[in-house]
Amino acid sequence: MNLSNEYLVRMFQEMLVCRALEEKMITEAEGWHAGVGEEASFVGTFFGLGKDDYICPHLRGGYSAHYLKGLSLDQVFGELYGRVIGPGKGKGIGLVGSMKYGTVPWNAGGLGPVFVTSAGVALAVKLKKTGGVVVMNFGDGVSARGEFHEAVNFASVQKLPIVYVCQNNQWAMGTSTERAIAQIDIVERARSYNIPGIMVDGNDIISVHEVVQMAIARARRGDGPSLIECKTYRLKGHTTADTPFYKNQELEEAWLKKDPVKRFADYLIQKNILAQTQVEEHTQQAKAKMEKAYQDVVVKGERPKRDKEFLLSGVFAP
Amino acid sequence: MREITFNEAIREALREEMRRDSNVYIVGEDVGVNARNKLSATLLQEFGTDRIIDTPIAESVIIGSSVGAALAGMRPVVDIGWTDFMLDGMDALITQASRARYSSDGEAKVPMVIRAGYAFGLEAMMHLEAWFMHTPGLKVVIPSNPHDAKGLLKSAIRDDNPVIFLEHGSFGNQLKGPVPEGEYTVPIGLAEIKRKGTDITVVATGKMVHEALAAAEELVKESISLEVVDLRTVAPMDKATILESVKKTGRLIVAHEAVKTGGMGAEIGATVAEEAFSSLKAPIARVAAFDVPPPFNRGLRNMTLPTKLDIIDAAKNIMQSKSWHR
Repeated sequence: MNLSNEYLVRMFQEMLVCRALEEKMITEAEGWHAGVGEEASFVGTFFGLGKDDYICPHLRGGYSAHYLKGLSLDQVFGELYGRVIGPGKGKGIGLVGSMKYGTVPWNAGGLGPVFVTSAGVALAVKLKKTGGVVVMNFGDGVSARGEFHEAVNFASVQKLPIVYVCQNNQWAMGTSTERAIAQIDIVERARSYNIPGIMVDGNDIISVHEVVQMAIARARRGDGPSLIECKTYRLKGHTTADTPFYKNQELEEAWLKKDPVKRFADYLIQKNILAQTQVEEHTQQAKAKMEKAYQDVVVKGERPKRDKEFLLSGVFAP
Repeated sequence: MREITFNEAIREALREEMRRDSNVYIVGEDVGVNARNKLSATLLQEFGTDRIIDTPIAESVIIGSSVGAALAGMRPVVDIGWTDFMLDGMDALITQASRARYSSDGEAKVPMVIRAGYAFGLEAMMHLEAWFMHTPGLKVVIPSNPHDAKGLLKSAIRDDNPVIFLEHGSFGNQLKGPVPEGEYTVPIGLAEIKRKGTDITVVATGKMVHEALAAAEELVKESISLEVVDLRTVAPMDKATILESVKKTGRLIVAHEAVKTGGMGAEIGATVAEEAFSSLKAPIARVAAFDVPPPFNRGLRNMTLPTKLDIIDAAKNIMQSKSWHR
C-alpha cells in the first residue's frame, strides 16, 4: 500500500494527540483505562475512515477513536467528564458518541453487547447500500464473551461489511490471556468463521493501518468480514486505580522498548520525512491542543444543571 | 364485520407496514423458509430474503443486531418465537435498546419491535413483562384480540422506540375476532374498558381479559358488577383509565398469568394505593400465578395459573372487604 508522506505525517500528528490524551488522563483520572503503548493498534485501526463509515471502539483507546472519527477534542472531554458539550450532555455512560459521527454507542459497562449491535449497524449499511463499513476493535479479554461468536458467525453468513480488530494486550484486568483464553492467538478463530484472519505487530502503526485498510476494501466490495489481531501489551494496570503488581517486570521493559510512538517517529526521521526538530514541534502542538481542550471543557466547561425537567426528558422518542 | 385469527391479523399488519416503509424488515429463526410457523411464509415471496432474514440460532445477535440496525435507520421486526428465547439477547435489549435514546439526550432512535409468544408449554412460557416495565425506555404491549393485535403492531412498527410485543401462546391460529378491512391503528399507551361495571375494577392483560369477561358474566347472577379494563399496553401504563375506574368502583382486582411477587399487579396495586387510596372500599386483590417455577407436568402447570374461577372468588371476597389470596 502506498501511503504518501503527507498522509503519514497526518497520522503521526493524530497519534501524538492520542498519546497526549493518554498521558493527561493517566495523571488526572482516577479510573482511566490507559491505552498508552497501544496507540499503534487503535490509531492505525481508526485513522482515515469516511463519513459513511461507523466505528465501534474498545474502551481502551475508545475516546481517541471517537476523536479520530470526527468528534472534537472538546466533545471527547465532554463525554468523558459528562459535561454539557459532550454527546449525551452527561446522561450517557462513557463512549456515548453519536450515530451522526458514525460511532456506535456503548450505553453500559459490559463489553459484550457492542459485538451484536455493531453487527446490526453493518446489516443496516448493507441493506441501505451506503457503501460504508463498520470497524470494530475489542480486547482479548472480551473475546471470551458469547456475543463474539454470535456476531462474527452472523456477519460471515450475511457477508456484512465489518472489520474485526482484536487489540490483544495480553491482559484482562488482572488475568493474563493464557489463563483465560484457550487459544491465545485470537486470529486462529478466523478459519472457524470462514473469513480471512491476519496477525499483525500491534505496535507498528503502518502495518496495522495497511492491514485494516485491506480488510476495509474487502468489506466494501461486499466480500464480508475479516478478523485482524494486533499483538500489543498493556503497560499500565487495568485502570489507573489498579496497581499491576501481578505483571512481569522484564516483559514490561521489553515492551516499553517497542513504544509505538517513538517507533513511528524514528521511522519518519529515518525516511527523511520529518526532522527530529519537527517531531518535537508536532509533539508540543499535540500536547497544547489537548491541554487547551482539557482546560476549556474539564476545568472551565459547563456542567449539566441539576434540573429535574432535563433529567426526566429523553427516555422515549416522541 | 369479517372475522380473522390472531395470526392472520399479525400477518396483515406486517404486510401493510412492509409495503408502507422499505426500512421495515423481519428477522428471526426460520422466519422465511418457515418450518416453525407459516406466519411470514407468504411474505417471503413478496419481500425476498433481504427483508425476511433467516438467522442462526443466536438470539443475542438477533436482538442485538436489530438494536444496531435500528440505530442506523432501519425498522426491524424481530420474531423471537417465545419469551424464553429472549434471555440470550437480554443484554442488548436492557443495556442498549432501552438506554440509547436517553444516553444521547434524545438524539438516537431505536425503532424496533420484538414479537414474542408467551404461555405456551414449558419451553416457552415465561412472563417477562415485569422485567420489561422495570426498564425505563422500553414499551410493552400485550394485545388480547385480533383487532388490537393488528392495530397495535402497526403502531409498534411506526414507533421510534423499542416495543416488546407479547402474544399469548393460545391465541395464534385459535382466537378469532372481528377486524375491519381498511387501514387503522390502535395507539400504544391506551387501555380499553371492555365491559362497564360498578362494583369492582378488574385490570387484566392478554388471556386474562377473556377470563375476566367470563367471570363478569357469571357474577351477574351474584349481583356483582365487574368493570373489565384491558390494559393493552403495560408500559407506558394508562394510569388515568385505571384510576378513573377505581375511583368509580372503589375496588380493584389485577389479573395476570405471571407470578405474583414483583409482578405487574404489584405495580398497579401500589399506584392505586398511592393515588386513589381514599376511593378504596376494600383490599386490593392480585389474581396471579403461584410463586413457583413452571412445573413440567401440564396438569400441575395449569394448576399454578389463575382462571376466571379465581377472579370470581376474589371478587366475592373483596365485596365482603376480606383480603384474598389464592
